[in-house]
Amino acid sequence: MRNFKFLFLFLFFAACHSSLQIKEQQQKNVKLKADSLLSEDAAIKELIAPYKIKLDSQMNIRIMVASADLKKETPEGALGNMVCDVLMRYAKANKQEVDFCILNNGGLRIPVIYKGDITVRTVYELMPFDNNLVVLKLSGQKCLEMFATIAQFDGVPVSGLRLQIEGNQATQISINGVVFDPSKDYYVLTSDYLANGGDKAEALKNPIEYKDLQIKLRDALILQMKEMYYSGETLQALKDGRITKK
Amino acid sequence: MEELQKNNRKEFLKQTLYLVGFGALANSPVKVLAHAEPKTLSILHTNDWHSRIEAFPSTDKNLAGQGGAAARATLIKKIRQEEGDLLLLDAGDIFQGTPYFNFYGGELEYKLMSEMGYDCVTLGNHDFDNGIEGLVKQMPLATFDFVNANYDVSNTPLKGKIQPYKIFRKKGIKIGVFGLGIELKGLVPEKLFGNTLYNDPIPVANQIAAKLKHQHHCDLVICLSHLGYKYKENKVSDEVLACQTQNIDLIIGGHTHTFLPEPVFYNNVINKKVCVNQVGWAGLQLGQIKYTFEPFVNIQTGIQSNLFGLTNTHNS
Repeated sequence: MRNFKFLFLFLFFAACHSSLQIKEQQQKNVKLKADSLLSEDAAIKELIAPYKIKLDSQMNIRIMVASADLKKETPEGALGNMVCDVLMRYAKANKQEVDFCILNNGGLRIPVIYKGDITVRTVYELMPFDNNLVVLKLSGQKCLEMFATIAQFDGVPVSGLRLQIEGNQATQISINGVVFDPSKDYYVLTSDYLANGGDKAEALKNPIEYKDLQIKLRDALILQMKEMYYSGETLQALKDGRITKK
Repeated sequence: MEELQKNNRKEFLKQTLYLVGFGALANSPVKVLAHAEPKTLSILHTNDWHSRIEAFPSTDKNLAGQGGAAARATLIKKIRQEEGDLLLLDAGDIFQGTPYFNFYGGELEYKLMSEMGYDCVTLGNHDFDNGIEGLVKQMPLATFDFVNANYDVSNTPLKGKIQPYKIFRKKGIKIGVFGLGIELKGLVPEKLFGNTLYNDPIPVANQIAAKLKHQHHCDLVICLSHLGYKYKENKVSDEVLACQTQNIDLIIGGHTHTFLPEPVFYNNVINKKVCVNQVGWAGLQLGQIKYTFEPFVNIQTGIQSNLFGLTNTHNS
């Protein structure tokens, strides 16, 4: 009798449970669950603690104050401008001949530095990569190629350089207030990552001269910010139209 | 009473087992077992958590108190308590993004993931940020497996430390997990990835997935992908992967830091559904894909998903 009952069930399910239904169910059952407030797991906290204590003592040091929010934007943002301006000051303070600075958007890893204290941690989170600061001597022609790349990226962080993006091309280019001369060579401050052709910066490869300043971008930024802060400066949100779009 | 139910259930199982035999003999569909209790298996997943050991600080205007390994561990424990055995996966870029990585090289990340009981991860481009040596150095701290099928690491120190795929058994369900990585050239300095060679993910995926499904008879085939969700330009992505392959059930993605509000379904080359999911970055969310299987035969009958935002009581 019992077996009979199962045979009936078997026939019933065999008849109605087609693979078509499975497919439909797969699509319908998707849903979202609300956020949940969670306590911290004790074992995990215990694992983190010794690392955190050591790190905090080095990371929580204030090295600068931002007097407004510094945002990462294209074609030009106050965050990118600040980073390039400060690095240019670092290079010049260390007696390097530099005409302009070019970095990439992908190298800035936080979208904004908020108004208020800037700590060592802020800079680590902004520039976590271990890239070195380098100076390249580049021909005017190579510079032109690089400016076109900047245009194709819709603008990147720069300093000492002004240009206008017209479609895929850069126009009205000037270096430190002087019209760009394609027959001249220029000294470009950048990262070794870009200098090796990273992030499509092919134009920076094989320069006339390559000089590694033997310091990470992040460390140069920290040193220079400290220097500026101790002499009473704060950071302004500066957007001066160095890169514009037509 | 409870004992009685147990006995009844035993009897029931015996009889249904008998019916499987009967069904097979009669060359009928084995879906007869649908009325028995279905099995569910959860896949919990993260991607691109980028060394976000702690929750975002209170000074962060948008993300204060969100994320953090300690809150994630609590959530995972809770789900384990409710559901028992499950699969916990990560789609790469565990490393880089906070000073924890700059100072400790990923040591703490792997320790914490081991403590949380991660089963398997794939490699993201940033997992190479301290070079192959830097990666290999931390691997002994990981109790989980590393999978990647499209990097040829045979001439690097990673040889033997990464498998193309790994097969897991959870709740009697056989799950094949394989990994795919993004082209490192142009993304990672060459000195960091050394002799790691990149192979086109699509043919590799087809080959490995077929092997897992038909040779190893996996009930579920999962791809841990660090290819990225999708691109404007013509570039291989999870979307391309889903549409141009077969035998993959689920793609857990990463790299593009995409916050998908819910998983997306694509039709593969033979018009079967492929589920693709990705949960942003920084350990802000935990994804859950829950499969229902018919008992004994382990045929997939349903899929559900949950998305958990991680908000920490301590910092918020």
